[in-house]
Amino acid sequence: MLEGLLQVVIDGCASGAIYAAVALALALVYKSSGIVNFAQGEMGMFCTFITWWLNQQGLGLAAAIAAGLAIAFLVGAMVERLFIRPVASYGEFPAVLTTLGLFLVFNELAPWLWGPENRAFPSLFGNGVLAIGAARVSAESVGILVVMVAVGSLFFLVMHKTKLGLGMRAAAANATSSSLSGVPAPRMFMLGWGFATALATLAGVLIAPRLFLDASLMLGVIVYALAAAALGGFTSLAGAVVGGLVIGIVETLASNYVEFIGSDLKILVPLTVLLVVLIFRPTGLFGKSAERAV
Amino acid sequence: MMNVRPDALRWLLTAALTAMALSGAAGLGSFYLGQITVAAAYCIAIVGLNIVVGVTGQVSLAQGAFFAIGAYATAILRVRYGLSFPVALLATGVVTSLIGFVAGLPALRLRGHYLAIVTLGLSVAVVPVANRWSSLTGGGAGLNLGQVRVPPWIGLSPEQYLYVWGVMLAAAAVVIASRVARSPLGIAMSAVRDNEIAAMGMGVDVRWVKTGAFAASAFFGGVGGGVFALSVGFVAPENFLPTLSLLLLVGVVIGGSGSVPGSILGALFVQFVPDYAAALDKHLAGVFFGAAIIVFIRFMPEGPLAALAALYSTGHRLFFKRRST
Amino acid sequence: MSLLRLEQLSSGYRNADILRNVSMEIGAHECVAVLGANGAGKTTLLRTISGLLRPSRGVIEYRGSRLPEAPHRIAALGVAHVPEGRGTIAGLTVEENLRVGAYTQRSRTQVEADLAQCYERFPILDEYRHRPATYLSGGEQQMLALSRALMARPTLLLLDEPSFGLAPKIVHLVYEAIRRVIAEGHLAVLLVEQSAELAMSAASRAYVLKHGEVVGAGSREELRGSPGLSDAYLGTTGYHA
Repeated sequence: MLEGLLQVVIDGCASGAIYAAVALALALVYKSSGIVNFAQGEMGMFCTFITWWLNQQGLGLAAAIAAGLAIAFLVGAMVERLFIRPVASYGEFPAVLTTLGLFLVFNELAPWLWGPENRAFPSLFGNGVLAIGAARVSAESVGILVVMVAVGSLFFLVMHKTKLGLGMRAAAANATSSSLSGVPAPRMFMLGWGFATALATLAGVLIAPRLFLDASLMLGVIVYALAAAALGGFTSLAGAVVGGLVIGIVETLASNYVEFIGSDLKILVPLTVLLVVLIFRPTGLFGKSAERAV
Repeated sequence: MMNVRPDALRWLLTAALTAMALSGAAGLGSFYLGQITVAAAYCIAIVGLNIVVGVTGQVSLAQGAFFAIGAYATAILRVRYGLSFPVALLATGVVTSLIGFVAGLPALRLRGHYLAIVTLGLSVAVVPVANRWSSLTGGGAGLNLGQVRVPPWIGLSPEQYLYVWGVMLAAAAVVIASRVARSPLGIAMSAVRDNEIAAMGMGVDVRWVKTGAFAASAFFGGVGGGVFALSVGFVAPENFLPTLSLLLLVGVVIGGSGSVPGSILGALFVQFVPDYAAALDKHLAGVFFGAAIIVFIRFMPEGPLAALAALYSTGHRLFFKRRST
Repeated sequence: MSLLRLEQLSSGYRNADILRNVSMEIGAHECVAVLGANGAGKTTLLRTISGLLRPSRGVIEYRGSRLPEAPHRIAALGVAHVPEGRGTIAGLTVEENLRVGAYTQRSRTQVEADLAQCYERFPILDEYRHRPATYLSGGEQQMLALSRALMARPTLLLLDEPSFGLAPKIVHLVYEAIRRVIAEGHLAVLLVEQSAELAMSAASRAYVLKHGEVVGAGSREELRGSPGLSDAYLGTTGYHA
C-alpha cells in the first residue's frame, strides 16, 4: 500500500518538476518583461521538435538536446527582441495578445515543417524500473527529478552567485535604477527570455518520451504551469517551482485516489487549487501585493 | 472644417448594412447563409467580449466558455422543453449572464494576467465537464437540435429563417452595445480601463462596473452560442475547444478593441479567413493567422477602423493646411 | 574644456517641453547646484542628462562628444544619476544593490576595496549588508543610493534632492558625505535641491531655473545680491539659514 503511494508521489514529483520548469520559465519572463508568455509551452515544443530533428539527422541524443537548448535560447532571445519589446509599452492587453499570436504561430509552425504525425522521442533514461525498498519506481521519473534538481540548482547559482544573474535580477526588479548603474537592461530581458525558452524546451524533451511528440505536446503542461506560476505569485521564482511541485503531486494523487476525478477531469485540479488560493491571496502564495493603498 | 454628424453617419451605416445583409437572404445559397449565420453568432459573442476587453480593459479568455454554455443551454431548452427561439435565447442569455456574474466576482480581486489565467481555466474546463456530465450534455456524442420548423406564414427556408434571425440579433447586439458604450455607464467603464484609481476617485463603483461588464459579456456570449447551436443544429464538446476563446479575442483585435462596430469585421474575419486559408495549407494558414495577430497589435493596436480614421484625419489636416496658404 | 556642456537644451514629456533652451557648463572638479521652485524643471534636467528622457532640441556634450542615447551606455561613460526617490532596487539586499552599482567596473579587487570604503563611510550599510534593501529607512536608502552611484567610480555625479523627506540630522550626515566626496576631488557634482542654503553648503556656484529656463547663475553672494532672483533662489519650501 505504502509502496504504491511512494510510486504515485514520485511520479507526481516528476510531473511536478516538469510543470515547475515551465512555471519557472513563465515567472522569469514575467519578472523581466512584466508579461505572461502564453506561448512559452509552444516555444518549448517547437525547439523540442528541432532537437528531435537533429537527433534524426544523426546527432547523438545528448548532443541533440544540448544543441536544442542552445537554439531554444536564441529563439527566446530573438522573440523578445523582435516581437515583445516593440509592444512592451502598449499595455497589458496588447502584450497578452502578442503572446497568444506567438502561441498560434509556434503551434502551427511545427506541423507545417515536420508534418502532423505523432512521433516517438527517445528517452534519456530508458524504460527501466528502479526498486526502492519494496516500491517500484520508473527510472524515467527518477531521471527527470534528478535532472530538474540539477538544472534548478544550476539556475539558482547563476541567478544568485554570478554578476550576470545579479544584472538580470536587478533589471527585472527595477529597470530604471539598473540602467542608471550601467546594467544593459534590454540585453538582460533578452537573456531572461532565452533562459526561459531553454527551460521550456528541457521540459519538452523530458516529457516527449512519455507523451509522444506532436504539436499538442505542451498544451496540457502550459495550463498546469500557468496555474503553478500564478500560485507562486509570478514574482517569485522559488514560488513557481514550489507551485509546480505542489500541483504535480496534488494532481497525481487526485487522479489516482479520487474515483470521481480520474484522468479526464484531472486538469480541473490545478485550476480549482489556484482558484481557491487566489480567493484568499489574490497575488498568489508568495507574490508581493502590487496594490497601493489609495 | 467639414463636420459630419457622427451619430447620423452611424445610424445610416447600421441601417444600410443591416438592409444589405438581410437582402442576402434571398440571393445567397444555403451554404453561405449558414456560414454567415455562424459569423453572426460569433459577432454577438465578440461584441460581448469587446465590452469586457475593449471597453473595461479586463483580459478575458472565458468568452468561448460562455459561448459553449449558451450553445448547450439553448440546445437543452429546445430539445428538452421545446421552447421557441426568442424564449430559448433570452433564457440562455439570462443563465449565462448569471454565470458570468458569479465568474466576474473573482475578477474584482484579480489583476490582468491572473484574470487571464482563471478565465482560460474556465475555457479549458468546458470540454472535460461537457464530456463527463453526459446526463445534461449528451456527453461526447452531444445533442442534436433537429430541424428548424419555420412558421408557415413566413415563406423562408430554414437556412434563410436562421439567417434573418442571426443578422437581426447581431445588428441588435451591435446597436445595444454601442449605445451602452456611449452612455454614462459606458463612460464609467472606459474610465475604469484607463485609470482604475482615478475612476474610483471620481466616484465610479469599480466593483459593480467590472462585474457588470463580465455579466454583460457573458450574456452576449451565451446568446451568440445559442444562435450558433440553432444554426449548426448540433452541439458537441469538440466544437468548444479552448482555442475558441482565442479566436474570439482575435475577432476583437481585428475589429479594433473597444470598437463595437468593428466586431462585425472581426466576426467575418474569424469565420471566413481560417477556412479559406486552410484550403491552401492548414498549418501554414495557422502560422499566418498568428502572424496577423502579432502584426495587427504592433501596427494597429486600436484596430483597422481607428487606423483608417487616423489616416483620414491626417490627410484631412494636410489638405486643409495646404489650402489655407 | 568643461566636463559637461549643455547648449539650448529642451526636453519634456509627450508634446510639452518642460526644459527650454537651457545652457550650462560644469567643470571636471566642480560642484554646481541647480536651484528653483517645484516644477522648475530640475529633475527633468537630470533625467535628460542621464538618458531617461530624450531631448527634443539642443546639445549635450560630455567630455567633448555627444552622449549616446541609452541610459546604460551613458552610465558606462561615468555619469551616475541618483534619482529622486532613491531608486532602491527592491528584491535585492543592500550589498547586492551596491554591487549592481559596480556593474561597469572590471577589476574585482577594486570593487571589493570600494565596497569596504563604502561600509566605512556609512557603517549602517555594513550592519544591514545582507538584509533586503527595502528594510532601510529613508535616510539609509539615500546613503545606499549615493553609495551605489559612487561604486561606479563616476566622473559626473547627478544628485536629485538628496535631502528630500529626510530628518535634519540625517540630511546633515548625507551632506557631510557629499562634501567629503567632493573634497576628495575625483568627480564633478551636479546637485539639485530646493533649499538653496543647503545646496550652497556643498556647491561653489549655482544655476537658477524658473519655468524650465535658466534665469540666473553665479556664486552664492552673486545670487543673493540679485533681488529679482531671490524668490527663485530660495524656492517655495526648504530650509532657511
